[in-house]
Amino acid sequence: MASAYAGPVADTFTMARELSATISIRKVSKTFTVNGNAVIALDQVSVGVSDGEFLAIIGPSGCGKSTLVRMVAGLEPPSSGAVSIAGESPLVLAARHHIGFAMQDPALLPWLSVRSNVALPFRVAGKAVDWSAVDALIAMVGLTDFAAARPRQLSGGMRQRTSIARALVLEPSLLLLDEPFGALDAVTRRHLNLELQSLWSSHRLTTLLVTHSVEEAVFLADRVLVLSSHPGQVKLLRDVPFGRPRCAQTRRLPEFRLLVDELTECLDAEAGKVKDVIRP
Amino acid sequence: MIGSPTQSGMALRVAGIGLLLLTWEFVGQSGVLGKLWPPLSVIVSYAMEPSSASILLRALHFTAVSAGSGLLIGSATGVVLALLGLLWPPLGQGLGRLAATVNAVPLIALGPVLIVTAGREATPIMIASITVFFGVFIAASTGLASVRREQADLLTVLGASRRNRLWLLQIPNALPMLVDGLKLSVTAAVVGAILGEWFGAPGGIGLILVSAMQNYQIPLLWSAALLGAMLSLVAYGFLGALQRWLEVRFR
Repeated sequence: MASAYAGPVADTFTMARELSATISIRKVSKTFTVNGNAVIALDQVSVGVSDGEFLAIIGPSGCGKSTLVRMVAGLEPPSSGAVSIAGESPLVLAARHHIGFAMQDPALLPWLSVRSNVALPFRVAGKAVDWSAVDALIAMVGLTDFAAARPRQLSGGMRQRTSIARALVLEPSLLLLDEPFGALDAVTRRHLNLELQSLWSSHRLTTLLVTHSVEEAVFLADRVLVLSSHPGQVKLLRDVPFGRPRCAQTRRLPEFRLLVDELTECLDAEAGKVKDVIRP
Repeated sequence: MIGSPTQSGMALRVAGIGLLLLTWEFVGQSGVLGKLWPPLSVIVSYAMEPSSASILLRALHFTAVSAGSGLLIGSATGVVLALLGLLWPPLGQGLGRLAATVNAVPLIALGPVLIVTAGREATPIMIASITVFFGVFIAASTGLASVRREQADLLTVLGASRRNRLWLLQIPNALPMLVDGLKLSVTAAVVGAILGEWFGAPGGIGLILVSAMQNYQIPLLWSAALLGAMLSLVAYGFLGALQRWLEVRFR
């Protein structure tokens, strides 16, 4: 399995980032109406992400993490407050084809092969497909032998890996990852964490990652945002002090474990709060 | 003919058809249903005679051309209007209602009107087109609208233009459903063409049906009816095969 992965795909990335992707999230609230009742998903969330920063967002289920990322992607407008990227609406960056996006649902097009699915962003952008970049990314996610396969022939994890490769293929200025590692087994997940980390260390693209794994958040991110639930508010914003590139040894540092424990406790306290709400 | 042909399923189908044909032959030979129900062998041997075969083939050709033209015109209209409705949603809603209204008009009532307005030659094609149009319009509209939300979101974030979204996502996504609609419409096209000929077209299976009925030519009547059914089934089988291929290729 390990041999199926090529070396760091970083070498094949030219990545001349011409666009800044500083994210500003100011006093953003989002209210949904469920059965006639207004439910506050996000309440006055403010956070800034500087250009080239990696921010991980963790929080209990239903705290509005995905909603926050969807707003940065321009898929949902905030009920109040403002989200801007480099001072403009997220739609501007999207229209320039500078956002890489991978979510829990791989959203592959079933009539295209893995290779063509990964190449889709080129077609959407109206650019000639750079097949060497496509193939390098397919190798990075370990799907070289499946490049010609179609999505329904793949396992759930393979589909997610395809969608991760697709998110990176245009060398975006902003990478939005909404639990894209959810369906992966632990080994593949750690491997992709490492690859993403080394790719990211050399290119520093602004990244938002929603994850359930505290360890993954600490390993990958510059800062970790903990959201509370009902309503979703900023509970903690914590710097991750480790230098880059990080490697497998980083995970074994006592400071790493301490930080993971601290954030896990913070999360558990939130989960406990939810339980209290459910069972008064 | 329908579904995936497994070995035993195929054998059952052949046995079923064989049983039906044998029953027909037996009923005809015994004469229990009277002279109007001749045995299959009599019909087939009548249809094979050179004189009747040439009449029947000419009629088949006429009807096939009418039904085929109707299928082309009706489905092209359906697809184009479905695309227009997608590009401009208010138009789409109005078109949906218009299509339902057109479909609600009995074709038997339209026939004489079309004979007067469109002419005897064009009526079979017009009726076939109208019957095809509704099914294809509904199938194309539904197919174009049935894109999964995650796929639509992805294209939005990737910055897809409307044209890109249409070509890369909506049209390929709609293809299996469109061919499904076509498959159901093709039999309607044959029936529509025959119905149109019934009103006084210069040729076709419908014309033979009318004249054979009025002149009490029972074997000719049955041959024409069988021929019409075979035309429908062959077209249906062809589109069914196309649909199965698309099902595998696009889903």
